[in-house]
Amino acid sequence: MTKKYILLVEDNPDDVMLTLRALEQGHVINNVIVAEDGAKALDFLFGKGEFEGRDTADRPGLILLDLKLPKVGGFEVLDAIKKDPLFKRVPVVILTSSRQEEDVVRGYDLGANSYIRKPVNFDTFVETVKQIGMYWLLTNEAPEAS
Amino acid sequence: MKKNSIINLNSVWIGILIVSAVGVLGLFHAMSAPGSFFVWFHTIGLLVLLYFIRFIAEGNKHFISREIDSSIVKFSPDAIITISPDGTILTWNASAEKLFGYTMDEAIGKPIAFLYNLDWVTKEAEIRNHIMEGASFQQLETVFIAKNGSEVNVSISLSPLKDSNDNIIGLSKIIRDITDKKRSENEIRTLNAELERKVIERTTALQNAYDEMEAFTYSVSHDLRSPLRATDGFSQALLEDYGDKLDTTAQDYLARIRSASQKMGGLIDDLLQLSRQTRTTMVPSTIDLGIIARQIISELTQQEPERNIEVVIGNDMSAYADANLMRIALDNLLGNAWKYTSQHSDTKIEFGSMTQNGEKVFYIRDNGAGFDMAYVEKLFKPFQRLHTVQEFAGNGIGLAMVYRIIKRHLGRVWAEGEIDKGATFFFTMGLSESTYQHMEEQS
Repeated sequence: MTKKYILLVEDNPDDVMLTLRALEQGHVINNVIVAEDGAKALDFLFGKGEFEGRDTADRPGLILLDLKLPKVGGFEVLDAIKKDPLFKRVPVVILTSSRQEEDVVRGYDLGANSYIRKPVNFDTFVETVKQIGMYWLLTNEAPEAS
Repeated sequence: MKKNSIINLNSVWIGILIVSAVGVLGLFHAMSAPGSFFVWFHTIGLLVLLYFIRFIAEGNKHFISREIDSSIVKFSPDAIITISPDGTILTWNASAEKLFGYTMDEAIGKPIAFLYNLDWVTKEAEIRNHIMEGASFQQLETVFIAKNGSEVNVSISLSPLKDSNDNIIGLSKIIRDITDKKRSENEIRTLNAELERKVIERTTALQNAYDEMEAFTYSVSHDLRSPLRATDGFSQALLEDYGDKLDTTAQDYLARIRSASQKMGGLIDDLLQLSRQTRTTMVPSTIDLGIIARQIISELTQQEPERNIEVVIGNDMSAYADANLMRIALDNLLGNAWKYTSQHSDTKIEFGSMTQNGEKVFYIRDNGAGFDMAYVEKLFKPFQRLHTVQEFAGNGIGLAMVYRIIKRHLGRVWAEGEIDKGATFFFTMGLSESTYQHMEEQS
């Protein structure tokens, strides 16, 4: 349980700070790795580029994924994760600004486990992030690491 | 033609004269010496007489039909030309003179090719043999050249020209001036092309506008909310982390910043919802608006169980409409009735239907705050409010949404109200199964 960490894929530094703050306030988990764009997220997960040699068996317990990202977009990251035999079971929660119907549908079609729209009100945001963390890291039963 | 018929006329009369003379002479001799040579002479005379009578009759028949033919040719509005097998002009009527500008004297005896464009020269060479074998051709279109050099659009019918023994001795051409027809055709073609171009242009413009709106909506929903989140979030962070260093005024300012950010977030959401309304596809069916209304009222009651409101929902509440859209519309209308009666006791909300001029009119009536009829025009416009937020919460988007939803159902919506007496909202649903199917086919 202590080994578990969250991969936060988010390019906006404000949102990174606020999400970290919310996670902290929600007492969910302290161990968060931040990837500022989609390419970095994929490099981290698959041990490529600057993460060459990383133990890829060390998978995050939850991925929080923004959709509008530089270089490689959120949907591409999602697609790559859900198509990979090792990473496909890692829960991916889309955490984004948009509630466009086509985004929601596409997200689920690509295998997203949840779709959450970031609320403007920070109190609500804290509550939301807390719920996400509690549910996916504690309530939900994850498969044994293989 | 005329010259020929005069000669014919004279020969007929000469014939009659000779025959009469021989006949009378024969009769005279037969009477004076019966059985003699004169009897034979008489008999021969009679035979000659009979032959000439037949000849006169035949001649007359031909003469009459030729006269008819000749006047048809003369007064025909179409140019009628006959030519020999080698293309020499034999006859040329008045309309040919008028159409091409050459007089009869100028035309007759000349090869007809001076009228032709190059294409027609080839074309006629191809079909001439068929005509000489008896075929005819109807209404072939080409361009002839008139004497003044202008082009004349013509439609030509060609047939073999026969003598009285049915021998083909040339070609006859009936030529119709179709310049006006061609001009109209060209005009129609130009107009059609213009129309088509305009349709394409407008469709492209519409598509562009639509794409731009899509991009705009996407950007609004994605990018505009993000800074608001930061404003609200960091204000809260300031309050949490440095609240002890801020006096109450500073804390109040931060609270106001948060409240304003959240309000703007709400406005953006409403705008997006409003724009989504006009874009979602409609799936209408026959639905009971009463059932939807009961669900809404039950939700409102759950939210505010302390409210004591008498709700009356009519029986004949069926409509051909999109259930999701009508749910939004009724949410707003009933929600308004619920909201604007909150400061009144003995409140009553009525949702019913009636028939006006053969049309089903739905109405939602309350005995709440009402409104001043002077501002009725503003009611359905987005972000227009007749009450302050302090009096009644709201952002002025609800009735604008209702208006759009009813419009999409080809209906009308209007309101009547009086301050502190209540308001009534009326709407009709113009959509029917047949009109919807027609609209679908159109699009």
